[in-house]
Amino acid sequence: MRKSIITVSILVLALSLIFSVGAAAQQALDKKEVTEKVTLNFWETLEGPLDENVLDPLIKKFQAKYPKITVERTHSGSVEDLRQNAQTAYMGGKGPDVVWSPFDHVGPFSIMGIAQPLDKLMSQEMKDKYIDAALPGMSLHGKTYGVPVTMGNHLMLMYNKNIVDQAPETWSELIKVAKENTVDKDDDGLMDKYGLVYNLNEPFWWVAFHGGLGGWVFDKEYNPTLNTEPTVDALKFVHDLKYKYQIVPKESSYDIADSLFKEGNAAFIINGVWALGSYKENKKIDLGVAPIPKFEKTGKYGQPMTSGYGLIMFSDLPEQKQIAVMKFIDFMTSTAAQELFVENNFLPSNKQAYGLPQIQNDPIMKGSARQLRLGRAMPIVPEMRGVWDAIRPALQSVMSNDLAPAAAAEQMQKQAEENIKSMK
Amino acid sequence: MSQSGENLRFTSALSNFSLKDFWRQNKFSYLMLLPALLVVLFVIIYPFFYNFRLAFSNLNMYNMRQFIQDGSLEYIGFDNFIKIITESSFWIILLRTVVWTVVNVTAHVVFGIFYAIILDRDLMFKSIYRTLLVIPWAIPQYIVVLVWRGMFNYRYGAVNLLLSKLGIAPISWLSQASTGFTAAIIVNIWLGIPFMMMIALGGLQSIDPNFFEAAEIDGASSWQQIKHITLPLLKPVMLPATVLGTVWTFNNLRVIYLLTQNTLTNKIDILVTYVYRAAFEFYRYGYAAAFSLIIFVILLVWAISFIDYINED
Repeated sequence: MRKSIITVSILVLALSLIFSVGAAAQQALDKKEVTEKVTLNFWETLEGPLDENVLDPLIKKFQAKYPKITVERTHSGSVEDLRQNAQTAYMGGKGPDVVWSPFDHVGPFSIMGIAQPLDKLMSQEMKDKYIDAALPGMSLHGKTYGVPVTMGNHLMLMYNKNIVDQAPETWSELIKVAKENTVDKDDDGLMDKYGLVYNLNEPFWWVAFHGGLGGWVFDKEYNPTLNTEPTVDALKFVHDLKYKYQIVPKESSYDIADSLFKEGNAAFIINGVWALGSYKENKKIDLGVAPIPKFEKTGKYGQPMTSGYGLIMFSDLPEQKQIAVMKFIDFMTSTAAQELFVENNFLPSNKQAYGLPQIQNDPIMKGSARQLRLGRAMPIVPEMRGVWDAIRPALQSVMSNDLAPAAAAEQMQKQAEENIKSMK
Repeated sequence: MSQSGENLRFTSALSNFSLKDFWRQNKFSYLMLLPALLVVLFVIIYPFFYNFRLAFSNLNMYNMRQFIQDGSLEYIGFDNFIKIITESSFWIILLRTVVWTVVNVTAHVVFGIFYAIILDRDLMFKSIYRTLLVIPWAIPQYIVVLVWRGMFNYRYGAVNLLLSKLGIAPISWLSQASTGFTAAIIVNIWLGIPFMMMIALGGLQSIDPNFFEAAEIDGASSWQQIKHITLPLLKPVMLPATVLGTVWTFNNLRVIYLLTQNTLTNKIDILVTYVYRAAFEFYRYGYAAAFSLIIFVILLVWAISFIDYINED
């Protein structure tokens, strides 16, 4: 009896020693407790009213759970604003402690040394609670710089069931249905209803066509690969939507597309996860969600770039703050917190949250998850910016009929190479 | 003889100069100026030299980390400047900026003086007109430009609706470089008139009415009065306003950037929008700093020679 007690206590001691050694290398800050009063400066870019509807209640619960921690939420405008302001503020020593950023902020933030690598600060248990695609989405060169909270942020095809019964499988079907629904009601020579609307000149939308037609923007070494057949095909395709089939508005920014769909004046829209909530609530829309249709040429569905939003800790914080940030991240990605994100149509990063009935039983969430699987992760290297800025002007020229697709592809490649070179 | 006399007086003035007396006489003025000087020091002079330092470095995203940590920079001499002026795009953008500035400032001054002269007369409902004319100035520019962006929309914008009422085919304003640039100029002219108008109005009110009375007695027509009395007497007021207006227009980021940032990328950049994107979208801080110094030199040389030229007249 005594012997077994000794054996057990030795075992316990040995095990705790092993674990404590492990914990020294791996600080597992999410397991530590905050001992002083800490105020976290939290900057976010979540679109209104989500910032108030989702973040504020969660922050309130978090503060109730950890009374020593106060979270000061600052809405810092658009995604671009957050990046620029956080960067400037960090240089001035007044930066935020933790930011809510899209995955691609990891690129510049990690290179500039603004983002704190989290690999050693997280416990294994915390790392294990995410879906496989989550942490790699915010990792670069083998280090994790952020923890995803929502996954996807991807485009999909949405349709108004008041106008069309079901989503088409292929583009030729969609074009046929869309043509029937592009009408000029009062014969003034201007269309009043459109078959399809989306943000025509924005590269983020165009890459879904590009990917579906077999293209990708980088090779393995992150050199741009834009002067290719799929690029020309994709440019021709979007050009045809406007000039040959005439199913999209002549000038369509994001806002125009969005309001046409909301007014019930568009059958299909290609838009992102963030818009689902407002469309579901809209009385003029009976919302359906499907993948962007198949391209006959490749047999592939539209391939949107997928990303997501996550939390990035800023570097060189005192330990108490680091602990508080890890607690905050852990809390925001707990199943309970993720449920609130799911209710607002985001796909979660937490494995268990995928079992929630809100995902399992909701056709819209299911459709969104299906499109997510057909997408491809957006590269988070900063060179991506050089690519976006190379695509945009060429795409605009093609859409205003000033440039032939083949020449535009050539221009994109040249511009992308120049942009990337100029950044180094 | 007289020259040596002047010299003598000058040296005697210098030899009599005493810092103590000077300080005693002007102490109050300098103390009053001090707060403003401090602000200028921190928000203009310090950043200016900071920018100067960056312009000779290769600071970009990849060596930012070092700079953030201990402020060390790698200096590369005039490389940034050479790179900028050997780029063909620089000269195109410069030319576009000059066109942008000349068209805008000319229109601002002409319309400004025109409206000021009208408002200076005895009109019915003068205060209403004046309020209406000042409105563009009173609304925040950011909002004004976004409103205009909506008005230039192809399908729903007020501009095209008006054109179609007049029987003119709608124009896709923000899709093409030429129409986009025209749209930006229209917006900026509309924005800039109130400032010039208010300045000119102030100038007009300070002109002695006796001049006009005398001219009328001599039988001068109102056009002759404007040409020979109003315009020459407005010159001292309008000159600094024009210099200011030119610098502002030359450096006006907001209108072009906000009106066309995502529809005409790269196509109608003027110098400042180009610099803005180089710095804040491509993280090329050294390059952008050098670029902004070049803009500074252009404006400095222009302002000095413009003022000289006017004074010679």
